[in-house]
Amino acid sequence: MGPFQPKPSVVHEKFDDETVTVNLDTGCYFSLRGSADAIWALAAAGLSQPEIVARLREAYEGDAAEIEAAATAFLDRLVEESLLERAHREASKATVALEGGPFVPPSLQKYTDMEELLQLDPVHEVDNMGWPNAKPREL
Amino acid sequence: MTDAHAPNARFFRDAMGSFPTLRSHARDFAIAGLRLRVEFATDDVENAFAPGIAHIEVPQGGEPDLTIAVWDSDSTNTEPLRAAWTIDDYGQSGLINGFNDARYYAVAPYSPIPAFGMLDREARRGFYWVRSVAQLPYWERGAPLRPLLHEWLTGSGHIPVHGAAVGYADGGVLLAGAGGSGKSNAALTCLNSDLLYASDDFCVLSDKPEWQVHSLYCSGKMLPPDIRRHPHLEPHVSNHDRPDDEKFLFFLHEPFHERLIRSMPLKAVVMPRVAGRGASALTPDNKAAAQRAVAMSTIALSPAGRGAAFARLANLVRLLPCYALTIGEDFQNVPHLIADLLRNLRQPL
Repeated sequence: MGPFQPKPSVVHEKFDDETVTVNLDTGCYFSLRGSADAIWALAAAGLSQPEIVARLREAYEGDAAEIEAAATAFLDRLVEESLLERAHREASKATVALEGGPFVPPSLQKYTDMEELLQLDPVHEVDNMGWPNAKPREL
Repeated sequence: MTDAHAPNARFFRDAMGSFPTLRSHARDFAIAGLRLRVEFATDDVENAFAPGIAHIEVPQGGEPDLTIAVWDSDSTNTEPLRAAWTIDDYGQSGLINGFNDARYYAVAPYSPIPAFGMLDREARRGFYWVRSVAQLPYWERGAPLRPLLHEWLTGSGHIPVHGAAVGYADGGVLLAGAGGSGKSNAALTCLNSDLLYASDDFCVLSDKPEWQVHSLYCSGKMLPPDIRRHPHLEPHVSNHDRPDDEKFLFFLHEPFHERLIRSMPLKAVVMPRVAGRGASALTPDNKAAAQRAVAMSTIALSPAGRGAAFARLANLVRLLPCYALTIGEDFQNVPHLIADLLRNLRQPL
């Protein structure tokens, strides 16, 4: 299994203990808390699933099997939500510092309220001179 | 470099050539240190597009950073522009595929009537055409030329933001959140206090040398049921003959001239939420919540450069304190809460 990378349409910013990620193509955005923050940072830095699990086990206190299961399921979810993809080739891996402490299961909150706005198709009807005639997106 | 025979170059040239200059009238406006000149084709066009930006008008003079010619076909009795593309060319947010490149920006905004805007970044010229200003929807009267100004201001290093702003000359707050969060109501309530008003819905940020907010529009919008709580605004409704599903639109330049401010430093990000009951309150909130409030509805309104706006707004919320504003039944207390916050933020740490 190769390394991960964020999808090209994904932007992300970290604030204190939470990362906000957005898929600009789908319009969905997410809050990543608990160990989700660390797992995202490691995946975005170009690590593979085994490398991520190894880093988490080193840094956090907790049952090794539980950490592996939680991280693997969470990475699958990030791929499913079109936030991560598999990189086609190895890239240089960025350094990620982890704070450590007890392992807190990853939490992902999904927001879909902007999905319609970001994906809005402007062209519902076109008049006979080629101009779109759509319900406007109000400020 | 665009080939002079490329479809977008040709369309821009032809469209500009059809701008009716006979009765045109130019006015200059200052936005975030930039000079915008707008050439209105007729009085009708001017009356439709100018009131929303009247508060930032400046005497003519100097070289404009951008000149936009604005006309319609009905009041100028000219032929409508003909779209030079097909339905397959419409991209995200109305951008026309194949007509946008490093030099040209072309957008057909969502509108119930044909409308089209284009910028030539190199020549610092643009145009905006609509079929009939008599049918211009109220949101375009309230926020005139928004698609073009958004692109121009972004290209000039600024950040157009979906947000309201109120405060004092030495510092104000950005009220951020999705539609319906209470931004407009909170900002328009502040017109009845000593706080100054920069925006109820859409403003411009700059980050050098410090974070500042700049007023772009002097309009305000409100759902009809909310007007009961704003008797100071009732005499200034501009669209009494509106359809039932349309918001009230106000132009604040004349009635509240002394309460409008063009620019002020930003001191905090405030996220309103209408509770409708209990006491209004301001409480510290986390920065991730502020990023979701400020950035998401802003990038949803950005035709391009969404990733860059997301990153720059993250810098804003990291730097400034962030608060949740719960708007309770005592909504008149909102200006006092904001004024107290700004006073407290003036105190040295």
